[in-house]
Amino acid sequence: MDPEPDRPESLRELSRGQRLAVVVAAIAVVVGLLVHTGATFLHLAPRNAATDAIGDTVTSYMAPEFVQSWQLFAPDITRTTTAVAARVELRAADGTTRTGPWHDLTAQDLAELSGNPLPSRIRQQLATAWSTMLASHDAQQRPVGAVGLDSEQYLKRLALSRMPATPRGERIERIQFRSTDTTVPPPPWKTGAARTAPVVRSCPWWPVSAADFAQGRTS
Amino acid sequence: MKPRPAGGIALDRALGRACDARVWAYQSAAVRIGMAGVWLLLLVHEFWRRERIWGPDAPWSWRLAEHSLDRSHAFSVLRWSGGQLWFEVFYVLSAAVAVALLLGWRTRTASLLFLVSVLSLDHRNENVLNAGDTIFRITAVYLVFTRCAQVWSLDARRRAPDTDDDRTGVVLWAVCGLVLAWATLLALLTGGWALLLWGCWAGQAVWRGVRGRPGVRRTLELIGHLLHNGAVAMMMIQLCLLYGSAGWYKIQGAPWQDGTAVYWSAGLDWLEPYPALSHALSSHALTVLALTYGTVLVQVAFPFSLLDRRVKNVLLALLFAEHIGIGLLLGLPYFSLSMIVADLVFLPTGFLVVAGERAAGLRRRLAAVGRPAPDARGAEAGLAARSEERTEPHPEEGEGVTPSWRGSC
Repeated sequence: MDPEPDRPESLRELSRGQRLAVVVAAIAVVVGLLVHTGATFLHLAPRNAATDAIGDTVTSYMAPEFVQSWQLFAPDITRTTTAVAARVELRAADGTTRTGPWHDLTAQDLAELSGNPLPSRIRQQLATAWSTMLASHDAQQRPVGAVGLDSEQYLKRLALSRMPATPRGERIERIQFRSTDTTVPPPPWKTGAARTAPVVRSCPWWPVSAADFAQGRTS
Repeated sequence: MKPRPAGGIALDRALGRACDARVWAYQSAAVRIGMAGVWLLLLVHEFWRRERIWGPDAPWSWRLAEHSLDRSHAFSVLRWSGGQLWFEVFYVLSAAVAVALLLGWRTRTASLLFLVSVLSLDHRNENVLNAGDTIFRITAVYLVFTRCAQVWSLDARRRAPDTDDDRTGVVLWAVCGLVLAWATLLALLTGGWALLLWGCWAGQAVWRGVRGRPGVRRTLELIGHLLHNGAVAMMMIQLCLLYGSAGWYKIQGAPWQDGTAVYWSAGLDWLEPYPALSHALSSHALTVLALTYGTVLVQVAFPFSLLDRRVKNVLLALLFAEHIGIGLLLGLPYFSLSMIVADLVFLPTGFLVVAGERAAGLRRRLAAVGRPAPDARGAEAGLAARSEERTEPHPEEGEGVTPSWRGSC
């Protein structure tokens, strides 16, 4: 085993060139730390004069692996819980159509969480898919760009994988989503704060194709 | 001998300190073991649901992930093939890499493969990530640059790992080279990542190639030590920026100012594994106020507490308590675990040494129960001996005269 040198490490035994290499490396490490710290700081800071000047450079340096945001529940905290439900329109072999009942999709995620010290991350999918869909659709509920279309497909695949099997002889033609936003009631010690009623939002019917089925399901 | 100028001696000392990889040996090992353990837990825990989260035909299909990766340019080896077989192979190998890193087996390679595994799985489905995964991913990047296997590892037990004829290491290196060549030839691996991974691979060869040149080897070793210290410092800086920005953004919000933030978060059904407990906690105005203000106070204060190790240790304990509380009460176990393993880098060396000795002692006792009269003084004893070396107070290093640069270790 190498003899353990005295603390701190001694560089005496190195030749001039080797010492120079270590010094250059030390300078490179210090510069690297400063640059990376500075970039991370600017990436996290609110918009300011420095980010106006070099914000794009910082973003391209940090993306994709160092992208981060620690605004967890901050500055404001969300006060609404969203329950997403879906129903399908089925077409029978004789050409008649019928609309199925609403299925509460969020209930599955809440069941995964309830009383579970180690809930699966699978429960985060629906909430993320829903917020991505809202963020990538315009006021007329039309998809904006490829992200919008992909978010619709993701929601459809998620929902259809959670719904009961299609009865024999029928096939799913369309699907509709609905969300119910409930606001957490204000704390009992806050007098005069009003409760708000739940807000229901319905999406238009979306067509269902073969690509909208996941996990081996085909209809 | 020619007398050296005072400036030169000071520079020597500063450089010597920066090149001393033993400073954060225990902290980096703790982070290594913690991260590998959490990743292994995740892979085992989600094993039966893996198809529904990351499989090629999961709701977030391979095709959808491809679109997303085209936009973000993030790295994922799961992109290389949409086949079921590749996914299963990747999953099993990820678990194997996590075990290797946990045990500190060929850690230089294992830590890089661990990063590839973390990035690949994370970017395969970003819809299941939260802030805990972000700090986990970033810490995994920094971990690659650390000498995190100096203690508590199989690498440390092997005598002089690099000078021995390490056949296993050579085989591992060759296999990695073959996989890299395959991925490069099929143009799956391109650009910066190709350069980086090939560079690391070539670096291993260079390190082996200079076995007969102690001067060059020593220089490279010292540069490696420098990188280790830089990377551990960056882990600490990253966490300071995390807590600082988390705290400062909170202060700007009304619910954190009027002290009701904890009430609102306790009322969200998707953060309530135990609703009765959450409601009991959030029904007391003063409890809610104390928890809300306390959270902000600890987060804002933590970066500054590094100036004094006693204050730092108190705040660190509070942070651990907060993470455990969040993990249990808000149903965010992986967020909590990720934060905790990242924070391990701030634990004091003395504490880690004692914890290591306790663990080694416990294992010895368990081994003694298992098989009568074994050679109890195996490698654990070697580790303990190393630890004892460390616990002897160094003349320069007494509790009262800790140099400030070492205060945060």
